[in-house]
Amino acid sequence: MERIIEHAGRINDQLQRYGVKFGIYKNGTFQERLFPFDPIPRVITAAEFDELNRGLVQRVNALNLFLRDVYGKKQIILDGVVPEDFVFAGSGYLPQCEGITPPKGIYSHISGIDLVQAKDGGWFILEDNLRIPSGASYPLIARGLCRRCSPETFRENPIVDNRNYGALLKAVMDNVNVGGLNVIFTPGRYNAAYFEHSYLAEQTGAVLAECGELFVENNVVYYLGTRGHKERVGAIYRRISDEYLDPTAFLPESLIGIPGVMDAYRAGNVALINAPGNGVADDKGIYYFVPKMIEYYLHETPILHNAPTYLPFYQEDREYVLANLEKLVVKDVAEAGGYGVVFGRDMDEAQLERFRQTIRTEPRRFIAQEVIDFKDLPIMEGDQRVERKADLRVFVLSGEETIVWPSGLTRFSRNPASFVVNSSQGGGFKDTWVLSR
Amino acid sequence: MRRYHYEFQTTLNFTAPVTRHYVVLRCLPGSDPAQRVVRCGVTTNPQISLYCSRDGFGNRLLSGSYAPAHDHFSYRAAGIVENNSTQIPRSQPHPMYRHPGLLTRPDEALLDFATAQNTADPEELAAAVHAHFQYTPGVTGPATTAAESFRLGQGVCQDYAQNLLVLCRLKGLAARYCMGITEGEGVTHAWVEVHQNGRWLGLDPTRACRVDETYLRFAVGRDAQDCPVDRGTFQGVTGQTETVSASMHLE
Repeated sequence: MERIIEHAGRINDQLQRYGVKFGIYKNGTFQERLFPFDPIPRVITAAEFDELNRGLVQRVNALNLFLRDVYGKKQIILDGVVPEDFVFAGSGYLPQCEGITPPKGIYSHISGIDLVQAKDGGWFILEDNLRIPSGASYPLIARGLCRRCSPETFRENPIVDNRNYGALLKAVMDNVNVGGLNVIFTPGRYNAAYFEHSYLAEQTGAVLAECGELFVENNVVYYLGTRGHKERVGAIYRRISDEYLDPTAFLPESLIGIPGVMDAYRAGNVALINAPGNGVADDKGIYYFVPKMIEYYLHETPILHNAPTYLPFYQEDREYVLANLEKLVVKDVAEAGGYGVVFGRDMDEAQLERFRQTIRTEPRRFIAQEVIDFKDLPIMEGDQRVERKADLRVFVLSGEETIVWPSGLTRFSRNPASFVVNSSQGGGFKDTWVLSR
Repeated sequence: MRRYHYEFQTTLNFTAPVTRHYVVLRCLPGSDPAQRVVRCGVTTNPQISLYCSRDGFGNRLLSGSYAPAHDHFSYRAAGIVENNSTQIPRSQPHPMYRHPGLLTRPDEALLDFATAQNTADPEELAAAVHAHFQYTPGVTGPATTAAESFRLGQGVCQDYAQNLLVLCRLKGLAARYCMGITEGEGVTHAWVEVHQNGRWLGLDPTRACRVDETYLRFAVGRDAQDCPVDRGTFQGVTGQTETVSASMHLE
């Protein structure tokens, strides 16, 4: 490991040369930034990974069953387990997807589940990302560079190889492909994760397509390649959000979508990865109900725990939140990427009182959580080893079966005072080693 | 029971040719005992093949594309329906109709307005909307939200309907947006159906009346954004003019 630390500068230079970047919007302008790599890996033991593995497979299977239920029979709502307010009032619910069963019944093919480890070693789920979670390419490419800088590190340590992500992703696409090309559809180079789109296309052998290169004719999606003839498309891993996906079904002003793709999808003529409408299962409000989904659909006890969460929607929880606001973290369910997260301890009495009033008038808008005492991870700050907050995004792939990629994106906050580690907030990342023993 | 002949036509003229035109139409009425479709059809010019499906709201959808360069596109829907307002079928409303769509999220002013109505009677709510608005074409557009039109106090049938939807839902009622045509109106019309006593009750807040047999429903949704009569995209740099006509008369 020391060898990798020695080579950290070179690895970051290489990452820069490869264009491993992350775009952020700051003050209304788009800036492309390097996503700083820290050489000290997060290490997960085999026993620890075994528990994560079982817990995440269980969770993602339940979430997929929930999505099928919400857009189908709605049994979990009829049975009173999840109140309809948390399903139909959120912007993640897309009625355009009612009654559509995607190929093989899979909704969330690639799930990015964010976890944190508490000081006592226990893991907590922070959030589920079932729309188009990004980030797998960063540890993937960093691992490759580390292996080149210090091959002996990987000979001497029992580290599970993570370089098969491309093959796993290809299998996920092939599994639902209804006949035709696998395509990765990108909104273009001004997207925060454009680097990743092109990298994953290379790794999976899929075609990287932009707006205008895919079109729908007779309810079938075609790719218009550089050779000028059209080829049928069987699966689209679309790295564009639902509302921009099809201007004839969602936001009419979208200029980056594929007109008619929802018609082709509804007819079963193309697979969309991930399925549109998944936002109904990963908003911060529905998060509260995931352990209940596991019990409801799988009749199992949840293996992994949520952070202790309160829903002001329920009177009992609301009273607790209003009385303990100063020690809780409150999240706006409509926001993502680390925005809309407020720590009670950062507010003065006047701000707390204003916020209490907002919670009283819009209880459905927020969840509140106990602040978890994260286990800090060491990072290199110049020549110094310092401790910083970090989380872990694990990628769960649902193909013929649901599997957990034995790696993940560990993100850390560079600001010692900050608990928010999202890459859109300017943090860095580490490799994540899963040990084979 | 009344038997009507209906016709709806839209023509788009482009100042410069466009290509790769994709259209989605919602002008095939659905059939039920209250609105029995005897015959219906849609033709386009240039002629394209249309694929028929149903959207998530249960509306009949026609979609198709025309790739070659063209400077006009029109479609015409026509048919015969038998309307019988005593035959509204019993139904269970989809729970989404108790919650807002993109254009029908209440703001503070609308929340206050709803609180000020000491009634959950949909007809009285419709009267309140009718009284608040002054019918004014041209001040609002298809993307205007209920809250925006409420602030203006002006608008057209879409704005009246969307405001009534917000009020009904705030009172706990399931309510849906209806788009279609009606006797004496030369363009599409919008109204509301509120779920009452196991059935959808049609109310027209623009005209301050109940919906009767002179209305023909093309599509429903949570609000106007969910069920436009047509939506299309094309490639080309062009200006565009649209001509619409609608008619409905007793056979």
